[in-house]
Amino acid sequence: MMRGLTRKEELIMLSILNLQKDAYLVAITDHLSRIMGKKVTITSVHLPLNRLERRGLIESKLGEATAVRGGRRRRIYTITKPGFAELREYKKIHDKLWAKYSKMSTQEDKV
Amino acid sequence: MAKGKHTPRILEFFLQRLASSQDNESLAGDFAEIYDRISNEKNRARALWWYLIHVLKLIPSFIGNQIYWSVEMIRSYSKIAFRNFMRHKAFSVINISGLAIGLACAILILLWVQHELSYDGFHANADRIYRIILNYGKKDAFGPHGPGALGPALKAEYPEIIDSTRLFFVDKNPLRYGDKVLNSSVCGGDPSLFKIFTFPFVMGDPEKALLDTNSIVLTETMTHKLFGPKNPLGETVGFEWWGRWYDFRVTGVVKDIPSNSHIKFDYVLPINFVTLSGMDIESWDVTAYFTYILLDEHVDEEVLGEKIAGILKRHLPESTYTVHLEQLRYIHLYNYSGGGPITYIYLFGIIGLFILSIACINFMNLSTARSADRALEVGMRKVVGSHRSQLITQFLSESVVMAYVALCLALVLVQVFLPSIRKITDTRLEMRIFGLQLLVFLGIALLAGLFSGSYPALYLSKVLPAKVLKGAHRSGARSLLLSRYLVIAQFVISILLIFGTVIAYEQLIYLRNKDLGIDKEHIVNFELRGGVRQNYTAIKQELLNNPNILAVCSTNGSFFKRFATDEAVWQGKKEDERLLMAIHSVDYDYAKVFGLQLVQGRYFSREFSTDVSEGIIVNETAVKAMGLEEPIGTPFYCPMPFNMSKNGKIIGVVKDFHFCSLHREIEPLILAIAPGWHTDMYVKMRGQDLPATLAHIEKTFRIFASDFPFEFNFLDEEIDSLYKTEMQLSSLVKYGALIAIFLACLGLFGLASFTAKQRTKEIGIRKVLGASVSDITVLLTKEFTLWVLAANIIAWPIGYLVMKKWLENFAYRIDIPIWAFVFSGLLVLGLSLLTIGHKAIKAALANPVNSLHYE
Repeated sequence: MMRGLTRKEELIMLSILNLQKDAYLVAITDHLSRIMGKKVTITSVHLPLNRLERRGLIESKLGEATAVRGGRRRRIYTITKPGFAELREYKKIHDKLWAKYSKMSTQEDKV
Repeated sequence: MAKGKHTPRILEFFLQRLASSQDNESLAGDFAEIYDRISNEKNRARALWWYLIHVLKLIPSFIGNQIYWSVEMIRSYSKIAFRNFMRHKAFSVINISGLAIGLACAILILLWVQHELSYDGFHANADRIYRIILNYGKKDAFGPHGPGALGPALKAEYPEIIDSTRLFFVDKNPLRYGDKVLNSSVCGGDPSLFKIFTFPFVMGDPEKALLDTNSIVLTETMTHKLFGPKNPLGETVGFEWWGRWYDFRVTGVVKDIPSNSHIKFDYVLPINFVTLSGMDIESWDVTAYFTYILLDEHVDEEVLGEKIAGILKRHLPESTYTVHLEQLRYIHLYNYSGGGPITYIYLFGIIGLFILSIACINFMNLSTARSADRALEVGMRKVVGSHRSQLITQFLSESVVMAYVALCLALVLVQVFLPSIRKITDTRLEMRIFGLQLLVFLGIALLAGLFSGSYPALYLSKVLPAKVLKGAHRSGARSLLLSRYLVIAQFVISILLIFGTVIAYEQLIYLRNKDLGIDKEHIVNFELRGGVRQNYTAIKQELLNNPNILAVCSTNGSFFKRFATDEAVWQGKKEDERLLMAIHSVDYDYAKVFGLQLVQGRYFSREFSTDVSEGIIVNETAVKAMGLEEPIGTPFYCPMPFNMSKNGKIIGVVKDFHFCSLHREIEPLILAIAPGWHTDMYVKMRGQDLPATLAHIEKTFRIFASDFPFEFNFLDEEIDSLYKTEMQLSSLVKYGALIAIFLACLGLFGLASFTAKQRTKEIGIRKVLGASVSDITVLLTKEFTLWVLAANIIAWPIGYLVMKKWLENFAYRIDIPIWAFVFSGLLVLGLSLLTIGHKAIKAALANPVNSLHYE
């Protein structure tokens, strides 16, 4: 059963993929801000994370404590197998949709 | 760097409340990290601001989380509840229907109690309206009939009394429009009637409706029956009064009288209509009218009561009567001698509460009986981390939901039974699905659910998981003890109700079969109306031409209507002696119609012209009461109510017969002839070919009195209707008994299954050691049998006393038969054995291997 992902959820999952072992809430937020070039708030990431975890698309584990955080541990998120499959599905759709246009746009670039 | 170390404590506290338990550590860390970053890059105030804003932003996700998890839990709970329900289908259905029946009973009783208590409360001035009652000299001898002059005098003499009205009621008086004639109830009143009482007008002006002496106000139903859809205002209708028709003009239409009104009528006339037959409405010595008054605001009832007590004596010096006030809303509820319907209302209210609590307790018992199964579930839930509070919520909500299912069923049951209850109680009970009533029902069901769920919820949730899962769980013996007393109490109630039903039916049968001293078969009664009164002699002659009609007579009032006087004077009476005697006006054929026997002297005869107004016949009781040795020829004079001659003589003594209901002893009776007062005729028929005889009577009436609505009553049916209240009560008690025994058996069933389950191992061991099936069955049923016997021993004396008290309402009554005790006891015992026998035999037949192989 595919319930689909919102754009935000997709972006968050891709960020987790990018960040690999450092994917915790603050890092994901920063990463997204950087990539998108605009400020992303921590709470707007936190809610989709919970939702994705409940759906079993990502999972989380507590990492080690650092001094910066007042001795509190990080929660590190990773993509699960179904989560990855879902992302792949999205990529496939994107690729199909872009297939024709990306050729055209590269041509345009050349000109 | 160092300054960032102090995250705001208070905000962090809130943060941790809002975060779900699994990520409150990491989230606080994340927040701290950004807080540090901002306070390093900018300043601490900005960081604080950021922290605050983002904590607030967490609130939506917090709420979302809460809802998600509670939905998830409810889904799990309801799934388990549904599975449980399906696994024990019969059990659950019995359990829910038991509660539903209990609730339905409680709701019906509540509706009825509410109806009774609301009597006359719909009048806007209900609290300030009083009825005047008279004390006729003796203690407790109160009555509402007063002289016509009383009302106007009260209003004129006391400024506290704003208004007054006299009322006079006649049942079944014909009203005619075109060729339609309807027998219906009339109320005569002063124009202020509609100012004092609130009977909403559909058409017409309440202020002016009765001002004209020939105006008439109809109820909606009456209007509809007479006029159909036509506008009735201004139409002329005919009103029959003592054989003559009078014209009245419709000036208003009121809504139908609610069933919780003690004043009932189909139409209202100005009180003056009674003067058409020569009755006096302005004198002080004819006591025939009800008087109602409306008080000013803030008038003290007691002060006024003392002021008016002597008003009669002031206007009529020889009067010994005193005047008192009776609050409108108490008229229906209280008798003058104390007590009255209010006792029944309380009694039924208590019974309703009792039935409801029995149903709840049974519900609880049956749920508890299943607790052994559920204990395992509770253990599992606890092992995987359920809180006690969650378990309590689960069980409570489960039983509340069950209670609501039962409530829905109960509401359906109420709707189904409401029509027959309306018929039995003769009221227009109504259930309003929306509004306060529903809220009350929902509240009752909620309480019932919480109450019944409380034991499993509070007890089971305490269970130690390790113990349960090992299989060592046993339900507490304490709860069993409690239920034992409850079951006994239920059986006491059942036995009482069955006993009551039996005695009431026996008494009713006795009343029906008792020899009344008259021949009550094949006698019909007609009222002397319109042409019947005018052509009475011709009709009588024509009727007697039919060989199947044996005799015809006329009387004042129907056979059982009691007129009494204490003004009789006879030779040899002591000066201050006053004897209350019943008095009837009859005619020459009265004795023939009713088959009366004479003990001494002779009956009235046409051969003696003086018999009219001078001849007096008394009954044996009267002879005894007057102390006459030689009654025949004794001068006897009775001025009231028939204006008889002073030369009266006793010409005969009739054998005692019952001319009143059997509630009363036979009283001294005077029979005289005063044809001017007659209102009813009786026709005695031969037993054969009744329909043809009745057809003949109808044909005769059509010829001589076409304006007469042909309605008649059989005397034996009239006699039966004297005991209507008792019949209603006994059929209510019968239904109560059925329900009580059902609920009691239900409770017993729950308990029996509970013990059978608890003693599974014991039974297994006994069987292994050689006990037979019958041994075990006896073992299991013995205890219950003892309880039922105990219930009998408690119920018998109570039942005896209660029913003895009830029988005292009747002057003629049965002795309570011994077999009634035995019968009710055996019936209950038999039913309870049937209930538990099945369980017991099943438990006894079970293979011991199954119950023991875990050990």
